[in-house]
Amino acid sequence: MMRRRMVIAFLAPALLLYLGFLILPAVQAFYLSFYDTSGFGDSAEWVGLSNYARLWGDSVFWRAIRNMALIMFVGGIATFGLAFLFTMLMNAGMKGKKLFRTLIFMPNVIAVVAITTFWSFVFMPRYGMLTSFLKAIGLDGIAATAWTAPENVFYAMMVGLVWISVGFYTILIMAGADKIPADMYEAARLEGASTFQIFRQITLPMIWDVILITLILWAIQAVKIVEFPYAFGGPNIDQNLYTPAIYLYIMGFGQRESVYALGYSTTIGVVMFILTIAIIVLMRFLFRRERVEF
Amino acid sequence: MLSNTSRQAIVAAVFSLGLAGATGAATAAELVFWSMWNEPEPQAAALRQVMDAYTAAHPDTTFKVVWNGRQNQTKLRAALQAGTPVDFMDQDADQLAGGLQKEGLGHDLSADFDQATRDAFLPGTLELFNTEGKITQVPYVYNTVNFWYNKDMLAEVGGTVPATFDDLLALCGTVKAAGKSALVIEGNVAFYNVLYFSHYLARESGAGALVKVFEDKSGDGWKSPAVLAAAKATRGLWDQGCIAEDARGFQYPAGQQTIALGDTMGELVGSWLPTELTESAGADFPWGAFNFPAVKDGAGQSTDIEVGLLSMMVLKDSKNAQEAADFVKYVGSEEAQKILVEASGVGVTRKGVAWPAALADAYTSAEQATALSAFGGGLGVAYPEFTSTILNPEYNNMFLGQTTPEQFVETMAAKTKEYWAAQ
Repeated sequence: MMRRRMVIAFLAPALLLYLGFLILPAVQAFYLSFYDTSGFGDSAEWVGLSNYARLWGDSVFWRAIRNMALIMFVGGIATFGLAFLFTMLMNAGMKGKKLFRTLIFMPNVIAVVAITTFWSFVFMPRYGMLTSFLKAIGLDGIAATAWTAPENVFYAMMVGLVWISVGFYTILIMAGADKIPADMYEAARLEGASTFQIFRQITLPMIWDVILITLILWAIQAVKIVEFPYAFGGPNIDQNLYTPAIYLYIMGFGQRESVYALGYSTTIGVVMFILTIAIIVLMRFLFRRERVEF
Repeated sequence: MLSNTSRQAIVAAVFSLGLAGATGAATAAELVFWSMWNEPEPQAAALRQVMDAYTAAHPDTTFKVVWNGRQNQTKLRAALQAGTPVDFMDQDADQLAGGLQKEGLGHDLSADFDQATRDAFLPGTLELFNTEGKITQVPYVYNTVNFWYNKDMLAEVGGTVPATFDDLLALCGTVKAAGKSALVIEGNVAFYNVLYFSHYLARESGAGALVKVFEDKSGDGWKSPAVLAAAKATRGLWDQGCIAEDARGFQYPAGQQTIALGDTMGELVGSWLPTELTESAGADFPWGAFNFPAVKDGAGQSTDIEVGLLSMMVLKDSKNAQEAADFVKYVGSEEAQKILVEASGVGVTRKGVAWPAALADAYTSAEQATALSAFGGGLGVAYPEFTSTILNPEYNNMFLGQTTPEQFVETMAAKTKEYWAAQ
């Protein structure tokens, strides 16, 4: 009995904070999404599901969703493709494994704003690093491309995003792969398996639970991503870079124009929450495998 | 109606922890000021000097300042919900008009501003946003929108300041022949780029034309020949070689840096440009400014200008409203306005107070203004959401060559009709 009281006493502060700062505001957000309010004063007006209906027909929101999907799938394929490649190479006994691991993780310890400033400079027309490099090797035609013009800016941003993300996901996958007993790799090599076969037949199945977690983390990041595209696009961000979270921010928090549609903005947040849950459930269902014990 | 009790309880609980410590409790003579400036900025230092000068003359009045930066109004929204006492604040005038002022949260200062005080403001500035017979915001910093250019480069290429849009196109050719670009833009700043459209339309159809076009609820306002002409003419700046093709990819502030680097002659932008480029262009850069030129047979005058004012507002629920009003009035005085000019290099709203040398042309522009509109033709004041999510991005798409002027007109007509149908 005493022990139970102690547990409650120790857990209570954390639970109260969790309730007060997470659960209650989340419930409040659902509630607010049924209102039309600027957030100033007491002028909130009940509008039922109107915000949701409006969102359904909002082309800007769908553009943000499209960008989110591109980050999730195209960015995901590039990020995980590279992360798998690096894992495979490092598990093949490459020299300087630790140094390489440190190098690819390095972007994660640098502030996002600094990283995006660097990438903006890489892609800057006329004076940027990429343009200068292409000119230096005589590819003047390609160098004339405006990489950050509206038709290219999203993919320019994506290159930077993949670059910063690969290290993080490689480290997670590598952490799982390092736990696989070394004798399994040795046995496979003795049997004449190639690096790719070892990765596909041994590494991947044995760290499937880690892969699933990393995929879910990536999906969650894709749904809620703000900082990288926002910092890349600058405070006057182009709609070509909008994600749902950026659109939420633009609509609810008054940028250059005084748009204070807090109820509508909250609706976007609620939809993002539902989308995240749905994606996680779907992924867990699609990638369900029997756990390999070792 | 949303339950006030539950909302306020939650919001108060969340914010009181964070904000009570930051603001503290105000004494009777301590005015709490939430500012749009960041503390290290020269404008913040200038305002601090103004407050010190005021306190020296009125020892009972002191100030507690929260330097919030440009998101001041948004931060204030949360603070007001939590009941944080704030006496007065400042923000871009158009943002205030669409925010606190629209919500009726500004204290009426009409009684504090007699005719002589009102007459001391540069033409149109006090009236531009105080449109309902009340004074709820007081402009104190004045930015004009002009073509900001390198005077030396203009002289070197043998050009002259263009009086008409055709002159501007001719000047583009002259500058291009000298191996430079006449104009530059920031590809990602749609609200800068839309200035070309709003100005051209105003020159053609008169000041306030853009708002009138939008307020035709059928959407047919966009189908007037003047709108298509404005879209075509401004898109034509690219075809005429006024703007270098790679400028489509410039992301702020890459475009304006080309002026400092000597690759471009100028840019259509606010009078904050010389300040922003001081470090890269040098304090002695030969800045000049001219108004958007006239359009042939147009109804508007080239002295009709767009402006970006910064205003102070005393909050309706201020416990020290009178003291705050007195201070805001003092900010408009000659003494305070001179401090602002000297300490922060901005243009100000009081007649007769000379602006810094780099802004001399802008002062002339402000002094001679025949009509004022807010930034981007003023549409963003009354209809911020439409401006932000439809007009600016759609115009930018057209301006940067992703759609045609005809498609732009069609889209705007359809979206306008849709907007009004949903109201």
